[in-house]
Amino acid sequence: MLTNKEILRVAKLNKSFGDLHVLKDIDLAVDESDVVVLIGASGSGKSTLLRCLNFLEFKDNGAIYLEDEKIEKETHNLNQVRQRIGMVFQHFNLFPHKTVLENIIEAPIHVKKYLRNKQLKKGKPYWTKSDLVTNMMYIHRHCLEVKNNV
Amino acid sequence: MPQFLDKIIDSVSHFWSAFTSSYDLFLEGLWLTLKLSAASLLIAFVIGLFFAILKISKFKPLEWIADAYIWIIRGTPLIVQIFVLYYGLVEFIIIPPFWAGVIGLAIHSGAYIAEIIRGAIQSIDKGQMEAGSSLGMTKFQTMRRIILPQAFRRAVPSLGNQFIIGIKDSSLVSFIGAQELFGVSSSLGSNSFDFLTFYIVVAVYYLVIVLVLTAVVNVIEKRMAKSD
Repeated sequence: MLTNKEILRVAKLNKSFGDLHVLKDIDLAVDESDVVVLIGASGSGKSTLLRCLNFLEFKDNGAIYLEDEKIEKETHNLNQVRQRIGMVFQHFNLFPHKTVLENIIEAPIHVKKYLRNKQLKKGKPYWTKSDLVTNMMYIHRHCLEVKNNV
Repeated sequence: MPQFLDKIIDSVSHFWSAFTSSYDLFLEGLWLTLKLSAASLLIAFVIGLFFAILKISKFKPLEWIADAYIWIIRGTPLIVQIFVLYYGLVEFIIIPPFWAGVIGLAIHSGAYIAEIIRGAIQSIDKGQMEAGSSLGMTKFQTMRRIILPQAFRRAVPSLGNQFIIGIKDSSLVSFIGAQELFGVSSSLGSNSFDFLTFYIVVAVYYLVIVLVLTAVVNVIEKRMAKSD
């Protein structure tokens, strides 16, 4: 039996919006190459938990560990932490003024400072091979265009 | 009836001869108008962008500074601002008419452009800023690479409008002695006592400038719509 390295751990996480206590003592552990599915009714806090994990919302108390490192907004540069976490939004939040390829290579070039030409070569196979992703992007793009034309 | 026709032909040929005999003076005025407008609008754009960013800042004092600037500039007539710069400051500093005009027009248009850009930035979906953050981009990077390019696209029609207003407002600089288009027409009018003709001539010049600028803005709008 192969025990994988723990990537992400959440301990006793709490988050309230005003009087509404959304996340109550959440514990969660994710190992390397785990696939975890969060299921719950609309408004039960699935997105809030994910947004806390990417520090788009700030927890009230509790702890978040990324690769055994306790992450706090006071002690960490959150932009550097976010570079280690990938996130897809509920509404995708793609950049509508950029092409599909430009959306893919934006962060590697301007955040990780990889060279543009290398990234273009790297980016192309991704968006021609993974049909699912590109189709979703094209559909989203198309929706935007339709919306703008009405 | 023929008398009536004669009158029209007379007026038209009178207008035409005024137009052709004065074009060298008007072209000089046109050149000055274009220089005034281009310099002031370029500076106004920088001022506008600066105060738009201040206005959306979460740090309240910065927002108050922007509010105060916009309140003072939008709340006073442009001619007052130009006169304060040129006549009012004469005890402390003597600014040549051209630069008093450029500075006056720039801080004036800057206040309006600040509001245009602020509105455009705030119209961009909040998720775009979050998407930038989630990729590990800094606030500044997200602003520059994600928010502002989209905001400018939305601001183009309003900015074009503001630029047209700015060009026409440059006529006020004639009151501190700049011989731009309107100054030339006033001088020619008072030399010949034929004010009507020369004011109509200068109106034609302004109409042509605005026509050209409108066409340019339309081309930019179309091009941006295509790439969207």
